Amino acid sequence: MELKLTNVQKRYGQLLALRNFSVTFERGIYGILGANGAGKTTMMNLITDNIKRDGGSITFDGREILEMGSEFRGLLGYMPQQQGIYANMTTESFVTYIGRLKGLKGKKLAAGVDEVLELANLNGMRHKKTGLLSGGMKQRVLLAQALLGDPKVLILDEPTAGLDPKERVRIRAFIKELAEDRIVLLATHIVSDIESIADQVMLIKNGKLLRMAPPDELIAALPKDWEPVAHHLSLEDVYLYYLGE
Amino acid sequence: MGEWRRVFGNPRRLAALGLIVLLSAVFFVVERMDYFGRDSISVLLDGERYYAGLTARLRGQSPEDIGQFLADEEQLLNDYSNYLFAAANGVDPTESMSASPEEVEAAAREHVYLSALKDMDDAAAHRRIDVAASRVQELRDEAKHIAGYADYLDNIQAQAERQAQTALFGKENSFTRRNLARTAEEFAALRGVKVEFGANRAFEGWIDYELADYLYLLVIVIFLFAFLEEREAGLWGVIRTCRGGRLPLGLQRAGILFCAAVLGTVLIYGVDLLCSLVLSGGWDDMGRSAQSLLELRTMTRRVTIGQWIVEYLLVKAASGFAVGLFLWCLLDVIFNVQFSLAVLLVPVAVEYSLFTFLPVQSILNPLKYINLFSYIRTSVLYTQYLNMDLLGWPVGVRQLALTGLPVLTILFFAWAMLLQHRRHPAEDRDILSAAAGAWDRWADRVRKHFTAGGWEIYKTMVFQWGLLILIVIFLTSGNQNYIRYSTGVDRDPDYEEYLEDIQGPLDGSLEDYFASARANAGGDGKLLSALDRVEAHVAEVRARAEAGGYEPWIVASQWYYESIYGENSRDLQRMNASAAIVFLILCCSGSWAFEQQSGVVLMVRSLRRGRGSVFAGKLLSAGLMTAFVWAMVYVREFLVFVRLFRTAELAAPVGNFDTMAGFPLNITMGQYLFLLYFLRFMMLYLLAMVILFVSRQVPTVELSLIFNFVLLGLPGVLFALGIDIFGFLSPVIPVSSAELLWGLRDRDVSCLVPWLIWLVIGAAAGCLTWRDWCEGRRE
Repeated sequence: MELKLTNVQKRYGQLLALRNFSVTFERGIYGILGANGAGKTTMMNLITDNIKRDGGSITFDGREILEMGSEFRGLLGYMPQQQGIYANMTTESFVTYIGRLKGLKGKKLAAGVDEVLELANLNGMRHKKTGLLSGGMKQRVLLAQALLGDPKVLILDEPTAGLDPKERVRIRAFIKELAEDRIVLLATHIVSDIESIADQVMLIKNGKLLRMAPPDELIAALPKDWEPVAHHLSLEDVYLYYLGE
Repeated sequence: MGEWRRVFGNPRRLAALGLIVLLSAVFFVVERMDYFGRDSISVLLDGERYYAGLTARLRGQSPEDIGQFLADEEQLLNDYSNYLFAAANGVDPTESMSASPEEVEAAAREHVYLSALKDMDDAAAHRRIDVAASRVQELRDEAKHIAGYADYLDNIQAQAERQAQTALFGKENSFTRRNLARTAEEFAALRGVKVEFGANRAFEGWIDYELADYLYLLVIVIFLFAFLEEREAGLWGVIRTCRGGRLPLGLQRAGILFCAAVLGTVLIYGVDLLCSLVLSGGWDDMGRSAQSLLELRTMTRRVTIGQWIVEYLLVKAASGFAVGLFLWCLLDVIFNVQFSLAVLLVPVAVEYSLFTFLPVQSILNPLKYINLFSYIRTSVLYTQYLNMDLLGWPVGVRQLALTGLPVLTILFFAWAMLLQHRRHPAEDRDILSAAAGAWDRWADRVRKHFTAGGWEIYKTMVFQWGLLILIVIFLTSGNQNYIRYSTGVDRDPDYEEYLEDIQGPLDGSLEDYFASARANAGGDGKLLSALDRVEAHVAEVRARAEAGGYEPWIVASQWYYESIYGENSRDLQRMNASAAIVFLILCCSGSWAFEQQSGVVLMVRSLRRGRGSVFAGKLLSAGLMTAFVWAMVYVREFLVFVRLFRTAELAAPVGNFDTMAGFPLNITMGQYLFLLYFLRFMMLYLLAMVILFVSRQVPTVELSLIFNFVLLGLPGVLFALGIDIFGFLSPVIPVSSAELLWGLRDRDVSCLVPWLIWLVIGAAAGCLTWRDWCEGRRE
């Protein structure tokens, strides 16, 4: 299983959001770090085919994703950064609706909905309108819908934002578990989330991939004279060193 | 001043207020129209000028002189109408006129209003004469009221005395007896009041204008919703933790609500009154007694019209404030703003039902009169004299309501302030949320079986208020008019009776029938003339059918076809098409805009079936809405038609209808109507595609409604009201389709152009939306 971006280019007017961006994803968790406007969300929108690319190719197992169309989207689980949700639907209705649009039906859909609501710890909120949920709970609903249907490529934009520490740890552990047989792209500003679960960390700056390596390697590659932010060197130091300006 | 500036400085709120005032004035003017169609505005203005001229001329004259003058005027209008008809149809007018044609012509030449009609076409002139006759009738009613008011008061006294002596009307201390005495006593105070003739139309139209009351309520509700904005934004707790966030804020808001009530009163009722006075005159008539108005003859206080208007506006403003306080209290009880509309709608619906459906003299009538709607439909308190049975004592409903107004205001004010001070936003003990939760638990069992298409329909019907809109359309579209009987057609009953005898396929010789009919007619010239016409018609139908290659058929009820689908009904066809367009905008504008407003577009489009299936679901939903609108407007029309028309004649080839003689397709009338209704459905559906396209381009449902209305609805309404230039910009003619099919009779291929234009626009809009949603990448 391989998702490959080759020389991908995206421009918003004069601004070049991604420039000759090339990266290959295989099974595992990819933590994506970058300042606001670095190009993280643009990259995700290109993979989900929500924006038009100006150049390059994106392939999944060697096939162009635009040609795969709905076949590729059938492999995707996407949790956007924006908390867009139908406020009048209940949690169960919302996840069921998304399940329908993922092509699930019958018992498979019902079992899938039960499973993801359990995983996201939303069983108590099943019949509550999503518009009445707190920000953290909405975040869990969005995560639940992304997980539905056993996606092979999971794209999570700020999945743990707004969650309490206990919930974050739970979700992190769950994502780690999921990554065994799929590609997980995880963009977040909470560096510690990535540090503990990511197999690879991508550093993006000004639309370019600066580095991609396991967290330990990135930390080890820091200059010897770098003053750690806390008591010891961590991924936060990597972030500040490479992207801090 | 922060809260005042926030509420009154909000441009959207102010725009909504302006729009409501404008709508109120527009609908007020529309309500004054006797006729809707191409020249409706000029007909209205001419009629109002005529009315103002008559009142100016008759003011100060005795009721008898006024009555005589108006009777003469009515006769002249009638004569001139017959004169014009005779001139247009070449018939002898003397039988139907009270004077010779020369005398009528001379009188019309001298007449300011009628002299202007001679250059108009026949239909336009008849419309104006009808309107003038209606104005004369109003003035005659007024003159009768003026002449008989003293007798009316005497009658009340005499009736009270007579009934008091009758055992049938109860015992000495019964409510009935006391009511009689009270009524007599109150009306006795009016004895000697001077009722005078004047331009009452301006005031009575204003008093009767019911829509203003509901628009005023809407203004109050709009301002009340401003008080819920912090809850929607999740700032309720923050506001309440501020020093001035409880009672001081509540007091400020009460002040804002009061100002909104005053502002709404001045703008809505003031502008309507101004329009009314500008249209009908009456500026100089405000010094007359209020009882001079027919509508206020039962008002038992001696005031002038001007004083009454001031009092009425003050009561309106105070009522608006009290109603606002009450609704505010209801809204303040809820925690969850999602339920705010339900919280308002349910009690308002209950109060409206009690106000409307409870009988006048009922044991429950305190619920009818101590009612929210007594303070919304305030004019009822002045136009109806009624005493309520309160523990056996008669109490005037108006006095009770007006005395109760300050009491209720104080109570609601205290309740509102208490809620402002004591409410705890984080408590979350909301009965409505709990009830909604119970409902959702049950509903989720059903909803989980919905398909993707089913969800689209559900979203349209429930989340986008589609079901409510459909109910409103169902209730309002029933008032549409479909028949425009030709006023200038001389219907000869003998001719029609003969046609009915021979109606149906002309498959045999009618010589025996005509011979027998002539024998029966004897020497009656009228009957023989009718028979001649029938024979000529039969010959014409046969010749036409032979040339066209279809079966000849005598259709006796052609007149009904003409009245509904014929050229005479052109204006109605356009009005109904514009109504269908407005309904469709209301139904379909939410479609894509709802997805954008919910912020789910990125997520939905990244799903396997999130593009084609969602798009198909939207098309299905739009199709259903189109079908409903089509049924409400056009199936109703067809039902009206089949009630009048002999359905067996639907099998008649269409060429047998006189006005359809040149129709190029050899089809039956039933097939022709199928084609007409199919074209209308198709055009409405293509229009729905345009509405969906606009809906996809804007971020909110609100904007989608505004853009669609401005781009499609408004040009249609303006065209239907007679502003021709909008005919090129609006889809009214293709949606109506009827007049385009008439064009085919004359082999005029240019009639296909509007269809083709809107076919291309609709198809292009559908394709572009498909490309945008399924292929486009612009999010």
